[in-house]
Amino acid sequence: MTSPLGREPFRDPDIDPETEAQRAAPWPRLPISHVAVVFGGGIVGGLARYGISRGWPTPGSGFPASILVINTAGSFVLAVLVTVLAMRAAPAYLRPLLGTGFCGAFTTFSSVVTASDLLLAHGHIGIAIGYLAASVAAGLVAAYLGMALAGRVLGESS
Amino acid sequence: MILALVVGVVAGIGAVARYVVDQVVSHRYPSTWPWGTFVINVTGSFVLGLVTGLATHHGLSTNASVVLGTGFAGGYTTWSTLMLEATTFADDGHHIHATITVATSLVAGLTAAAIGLSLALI
Repeated sequence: MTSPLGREPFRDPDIDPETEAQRAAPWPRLPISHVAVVFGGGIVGGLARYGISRGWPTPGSGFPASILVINTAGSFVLAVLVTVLAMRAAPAYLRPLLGTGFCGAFTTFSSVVTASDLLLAHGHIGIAIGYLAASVAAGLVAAYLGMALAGRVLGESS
Repeated sequence: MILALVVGVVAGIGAVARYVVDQVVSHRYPSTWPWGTFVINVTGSFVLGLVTGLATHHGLSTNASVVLGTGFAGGYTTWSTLMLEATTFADDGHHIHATITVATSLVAGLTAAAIGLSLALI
């Protein structure tokens, strides 16, 4: 199976690639329309994460299950989104709105490492290692499944 | 209710900060290596470690730590992008790159958060 994302996923050329002059400029273009949709998606993603972690709190020195579920679900959704946008024409604002904004703010890296540091500091080494390993394993499997499922569904329907 | 709205708006500001940092890093240092996500996640982990430490040892209020930690640091850093980047490397056959990007992010993030937590002890 070839990659649905192509060879250079991190340049994110979007719909309108940079011109020579824009590449040579000291600062990147930061279109206000993209900033606005990232902000909007970020608010919703942050609210969703806050709501879920409030309703499903982690007991002191416990396993942060709600953040694990949030990060796994967000990794799946982002992989589906990016795969769909790579294979289908779509409005240019969808990637910054749902990917950079929603999925980026819904999921969190800082919470994983800070919670792990605190677990380690309190001697819960097994929980810390288990949490880190589960976060990585579940996130990678979710992202892979998201890419593969979206690629298969769109591949069959095209 | 008000707190939830503030957390949401500050998470939106964190997301915009991530967008700007990622664009600036990838513009200044064009690379197939995802340096933007690395810089964002490590700096954001330092912020959350510091906020958590200040709340524990210096009486930073719960509301302030939730707004700055859950809101800003949570909205700024991202797990989904790291997982997508690693999976993309693996899907392209670069399994070593996938392993390195996850391992270096975690080690640097754990260290940055620990430095933030430790600074609050001073």
